[in-house]
Amino acid sequence: MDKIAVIGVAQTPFSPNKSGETYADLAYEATTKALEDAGLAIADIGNIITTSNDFWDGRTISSMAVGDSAGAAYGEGKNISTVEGDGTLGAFYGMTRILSGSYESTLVLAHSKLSEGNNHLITNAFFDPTYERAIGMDSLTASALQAQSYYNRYKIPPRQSALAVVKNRANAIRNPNAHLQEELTIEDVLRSPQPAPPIHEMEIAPESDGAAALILTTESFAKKHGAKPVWIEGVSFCAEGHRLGERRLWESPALRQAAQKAYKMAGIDNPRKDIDVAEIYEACSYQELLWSEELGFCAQGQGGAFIESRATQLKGELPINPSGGCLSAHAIIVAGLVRIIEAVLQLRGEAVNQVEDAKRALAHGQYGLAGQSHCVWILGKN
Amino acid sequence: MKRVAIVGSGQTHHTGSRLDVNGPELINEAVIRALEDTGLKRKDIDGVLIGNMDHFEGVNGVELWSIDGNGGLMKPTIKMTTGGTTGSTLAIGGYHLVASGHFDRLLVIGWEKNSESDTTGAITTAFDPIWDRMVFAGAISGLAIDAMNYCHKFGVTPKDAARVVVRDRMNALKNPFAHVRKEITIEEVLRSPLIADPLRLWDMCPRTDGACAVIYASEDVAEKIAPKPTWILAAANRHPYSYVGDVECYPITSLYHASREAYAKAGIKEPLKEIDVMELYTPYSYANLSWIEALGLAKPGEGPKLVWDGATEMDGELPINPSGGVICTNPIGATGLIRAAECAGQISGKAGDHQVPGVKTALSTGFGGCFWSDILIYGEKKP
Amino acid sequence: MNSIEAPETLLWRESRIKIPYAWAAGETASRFFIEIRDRKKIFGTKCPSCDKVYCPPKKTCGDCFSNCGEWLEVGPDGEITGFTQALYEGGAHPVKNPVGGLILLRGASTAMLHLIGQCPLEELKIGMKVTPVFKENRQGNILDILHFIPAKQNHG
Repeated sequence: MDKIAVIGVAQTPFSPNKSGETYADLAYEATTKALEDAGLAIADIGNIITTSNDFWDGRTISSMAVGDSAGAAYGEGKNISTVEGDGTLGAFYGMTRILSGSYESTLVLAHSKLSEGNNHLITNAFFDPTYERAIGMDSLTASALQAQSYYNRYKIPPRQSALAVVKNRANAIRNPNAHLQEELTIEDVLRSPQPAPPIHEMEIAPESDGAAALILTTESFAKKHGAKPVWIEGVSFCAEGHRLGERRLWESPALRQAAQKAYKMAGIDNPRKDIDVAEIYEACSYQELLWSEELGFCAQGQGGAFIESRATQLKGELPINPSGGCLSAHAIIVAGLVRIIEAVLQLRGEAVNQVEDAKRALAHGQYGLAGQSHCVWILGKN
Repeated sequence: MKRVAIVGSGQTHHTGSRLDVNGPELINEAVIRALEDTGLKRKDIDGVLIGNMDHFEGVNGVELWSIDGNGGLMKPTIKMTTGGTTGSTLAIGGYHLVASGHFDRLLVIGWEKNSESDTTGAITTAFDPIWDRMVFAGAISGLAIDAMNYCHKFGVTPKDAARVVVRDRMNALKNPFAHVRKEITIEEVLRSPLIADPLRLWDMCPRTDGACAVIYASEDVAEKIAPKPTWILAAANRHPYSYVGDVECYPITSLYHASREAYAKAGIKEPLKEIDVMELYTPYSYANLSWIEALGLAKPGEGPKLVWDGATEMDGELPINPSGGVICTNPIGATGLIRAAECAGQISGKAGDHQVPGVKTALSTGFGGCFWSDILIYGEKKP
Repeated sequence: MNSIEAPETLLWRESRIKIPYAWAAGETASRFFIEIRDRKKIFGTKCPSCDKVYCPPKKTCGDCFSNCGEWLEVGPDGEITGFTQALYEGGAHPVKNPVGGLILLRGASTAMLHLIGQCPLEELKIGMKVTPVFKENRQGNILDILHFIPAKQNHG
């Protein structure tokens, strides 16, 4: 694959309720900050990809709200398109529009305001309207079924998934963009109520408002503009079956396949050794354990032991979510794009919780019920 | 960077209501036909790109929900949606995804079951909730403003508009997949009920249930799959507006700029002469007059003359909408992609009874959002 | 939706997407629901390539891409393969604090998502045998099965 660089990144601070800003305001903030970060003006941008979801926005053609703010009407207008799904998928399409030879640069944008919709009803709409929707489940109860299946299969004690919350919220204390920043103990997490057993309230990613943007370019464009590039070494995505009742919920073949393909592109044989830092998308704490297994950081069933070993702490062998991750800020749609952005900051040496000498980073996005679809990115410094 | 071709497609028999299938089953019909058209199997497909308009079916994450029917199980599966332009967004998306070198054989699917919801109610939610939604209803009022403005500027008449309805309806008679397959006269169009002045019932597209699947292939495999692949020469778009009040109706600037960009990419200087067939996303009759002016086929105000002269008929200089167009078939998320499938059918010589002889170059458009436009240009020769 | 606490200078407009839907069940799901409605029988469909029996039935096997044309009666009893309870208010809940579960019916290869009733959460276990309770007045939808209950409770 031709070399593609990430040369600009930006995120708004994430908070429970940005009632002072519209989608367009958030999009404009992320866009202008990303341009500033890359040292570019909107005139330099070849094309634009926005990422949004009509259900969370309560709007058919949700992309219409942010086109102007992203530069779609600039001059005689720019080419623009929209992916519906996690921001990592928007970034993937943005990358292909450069690799196709059509543009030298892509601005990728994602926005959402979870404060404005009802997440329970919106995610109930992921279920089949004929067979499933009347049962009344949503993304949280779907995750609860997956957590139960995973815990039950591998006898994971609750304290091990609670560790992900304790670690990530502590990491978030230094992240000015995080929505939740607090020092917690395992007991605090396990004492919190269980809205959907076995999941505790503190183990659920918060509902945040915010936007993020990044700028992808060719190698020659990055050089010409004197940018500080981070390189895409590999990326792949994959989706598994829809019905929860036909999935082996204690594993994720889609994530495994996406990771293996991305590793192959990047020439990675041993991910635990070859990757210096990972930003992964967990909507609930247990997912950090389960996704670690499928990403090949540890053996199947060893996700609990892996986090207990402190390998994923800031000073550990493979720090996971030094930014605080989705358990500390979670604007669905945007959340995966933020993982890429945090990985880029690590490789630039500009992250709030900088991992020493990080040369290669993994960023992960997911979408759908209990992680039906996954996207894995490998980014490198050199 | 790979050159990209369309190597086959499949459509459902488009109709007003498909109670016998749910969404994934409807999608599967088009997918199976596309696979049969190319001789490929699901295992040969590297990825799936799909789109529709969420609130028309009320299903979140359609690419994941329909995975058994769309062929994407354990494959990269991605959704794009941009309103009316969804289908053409998919057609352009398929191009970039394959041209990137990441996919050799990509299945691209557009679909809609308009029968399952209130289309006008759903479209109303496309507009800004603070500024536009409380004072503006559905798509038709915006289109009526455009038509009224065009008529006022150039003295265009309802009879001129009715003439293109007659043309598209005639063409649809020869397309077995078209939804409305019934001949109509100018008088019948003019006598149909007024919906939003000057638009009458038969000036408008129908609401359709349907799906379309198109298989895109990279230059490495395209010629092995299809004897005559349809190469994509250019793709461009403009989605410039966010608010209804910002729209400049005439000329439709998004189409003007997107088409000039695409012509430049494909090396086309005189579209009327150099392009052999067009499939336009024209959801109401007047668009078939004013938008062909924006495309540079006629001078301002002279679109009707081109139509009356017969230039856009099946045997004319530049046949437009041999399939019967959007006036006869409109499963919205599929509509722009059907245009691409039809152009590929014309170039590969597989268009059947509505085949235009000797097509070497074709053009399709997409329309939607807030007067947004997408363009693709196709050719029989590898670019 | 978070509760909105904003200064008086910031306004918002409350509304909801008000669109009626009529989802076609299609031939496959219609037959499944009619069997339950008229005969209290639960059917699955079998993939001729991989022999999986899908319940609820599928028209197409997503993996083999074959038409699952063979209908087989499954259940009515089965076992729980997963469960949770929504201990919060939700507009989509059919009952207060619903217990949602995955039920693998006897003879089926895949589990069905449904409600579990008449058993406290603490007593539920993966692998527990359950049996369906059919509604008296059945209308041809998934809630014609009221819920599944532990099998032993159904005696008498």
